[in-house]
Amino acid sequence: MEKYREKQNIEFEQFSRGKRLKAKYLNWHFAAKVFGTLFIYVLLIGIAFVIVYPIIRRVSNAFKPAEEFFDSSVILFPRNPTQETIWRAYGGLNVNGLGAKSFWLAVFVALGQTAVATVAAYGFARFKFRGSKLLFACVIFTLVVPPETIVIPLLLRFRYFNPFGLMSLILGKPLDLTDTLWPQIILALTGMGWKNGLYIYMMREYFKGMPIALEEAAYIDGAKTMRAFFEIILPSAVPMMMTIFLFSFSWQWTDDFYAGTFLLTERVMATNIATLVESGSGGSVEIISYNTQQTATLLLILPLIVLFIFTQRFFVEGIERSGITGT
Amino acid sequence: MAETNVNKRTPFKKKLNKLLGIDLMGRKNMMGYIFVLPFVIGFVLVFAPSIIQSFRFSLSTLKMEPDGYNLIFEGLGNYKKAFLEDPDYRKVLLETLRDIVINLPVILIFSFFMAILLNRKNFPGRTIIRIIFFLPVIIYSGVASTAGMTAGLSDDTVAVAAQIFSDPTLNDTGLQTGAASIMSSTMNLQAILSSLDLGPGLMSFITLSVSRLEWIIQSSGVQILIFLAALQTIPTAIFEAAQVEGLTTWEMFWKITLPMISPMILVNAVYTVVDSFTNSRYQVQSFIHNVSFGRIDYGYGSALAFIYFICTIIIIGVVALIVSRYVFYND
Repeated sequence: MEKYREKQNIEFEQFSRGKRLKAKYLNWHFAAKVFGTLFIYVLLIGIAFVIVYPIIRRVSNAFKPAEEFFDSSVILFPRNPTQETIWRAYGGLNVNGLGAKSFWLAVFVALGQTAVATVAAYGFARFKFRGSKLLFACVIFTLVVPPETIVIPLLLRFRYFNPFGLMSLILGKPLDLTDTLWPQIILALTGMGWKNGLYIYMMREYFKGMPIALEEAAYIDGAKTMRAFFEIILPSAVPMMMTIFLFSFSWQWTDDFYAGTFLLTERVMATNIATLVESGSGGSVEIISYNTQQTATLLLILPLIVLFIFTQRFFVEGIERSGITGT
Repeated sequence: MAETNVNKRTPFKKKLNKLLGIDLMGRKNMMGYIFVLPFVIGFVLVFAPSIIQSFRFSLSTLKMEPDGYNLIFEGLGNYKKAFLEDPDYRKVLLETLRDIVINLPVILIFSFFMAILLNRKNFPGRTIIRIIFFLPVIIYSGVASTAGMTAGLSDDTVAVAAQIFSDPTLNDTGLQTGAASIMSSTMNLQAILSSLDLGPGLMSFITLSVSRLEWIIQSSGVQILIFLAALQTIPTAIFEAAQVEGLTTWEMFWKITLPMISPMILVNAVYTVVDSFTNSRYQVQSFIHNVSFGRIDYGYGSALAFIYFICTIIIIGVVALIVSRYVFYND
């Protein structure tokens, strides 16, 4: 082998350096490769730009003083950057008053959804009980029903909260849960929260891809189902649970649909944004209030961007790891 | 003593198992019920009653009272109203369905194409590009998509922009560029196009297709990843065998890649439709929300939501029907 290589080298060395380079780079194959790669990079970078540009635009708008919006020579870099809009947006979001509440709501809902999705998905992935296929079809069904369809009965259910008539037995009248965070937490804990069917589906695909030998070994060693689940399965499912938690947290953080429905007079930060535009005022006032709203949106998603930068591994690999197979 | 105990217990267990019609494995599988219990509780006590109630509401008028509500049965009145009387609903619903039907194949093809581009080996910057493509999934969700964070023409953007562009008293190019710079690049484009005097038809066509392009790019993050994951599960041995047999790359694409990831097309199609429910750029959601909670007309709102639900089910059904003809399961 060595000898063969040496011989090859010697034969190759017989040509001059210039000839060698010519042979290597001046041919159609190389040109096609270069242009192909160039084309793909231009395409990908262009598309990435389309995604990132609105954010850059809004960051620049956040620092622009009002009069520079009417100056067509200022596009991305404001001449006299100000923090005025940012502080107005900060006040409009009411970060000091509502920040903690929004945060804890998102955390609790995400925790509840992750726990329920993990447990239910394990049940669907590993046990063949009667009706399991039908129940899983129900999971998919909860996913394909638009939230608008069930939100009115849900609202009335929580407005007159009376499970099995318990509340009227204890309090004499149904409990009013609107304007509290309970409706969303209850929905999360019963697996009916925002996009919960999707989490169950992802988690199930993940468990199905896990080698069954892990549990079988535990059973042979005498562990019961519960013990095997808590001591063997859960620790190895932590990365995927992290993915679900992060998805759930970020979607809950920006969700204004359920929050806006169940909180009638109270607010969280996400529902505050819609109130920031004074529409119909026209002209420059409208532009300024619109800009404030956009900046508030930017401030709202800023923590998510930071979170995403540090945890993108879980987001991006989570879906790949789940190895969704479509069956 | 101990022996008799064992002898006594075993037949009892066997009898019990026989009675329930299960064996040891079946007994273990009964544990599955405990795991799915939270979901079952939610489905039986929250979801199923809600959807039935929603259907009942849609057939009636709802009157709120201090400690409860009153239903007045109306039959198909609300549905008749939606289709025959309401001037806006049909338009909004058709626009939304048209948007879904147009976007669905484009998103599928686009994300498929992107996944193939990103799947190349030894491709520097792959991680960064993947991250950026995924960014919209996290940040353009919920209120961020409502508030026109996406660069397209959301409801309020159009309203504000139309006002600024059409108001004769604001005939000031400075203000117009101001509006454009704050709205989006699409509005910027519109400003440029209007200065070119292209005529309204061509102009709206160009702006709409550009904004749709952004819309599609921003809503394909998860789909790209799902396709990418599927592409990576294809065993390389198949490609090697094909290479030995003398297949070209083009043939390999049609004969191997496409069939192998075809199950994912259905998954992605369903995901795309489901995703559209929570994207407020499809206008029907805000319309229904306005009817239900703005006008507090719960009965009519339920009817509208139900019509929307049936329409999306039909779309998913048609897609499933088309895709399942060509899908190939490698079992």
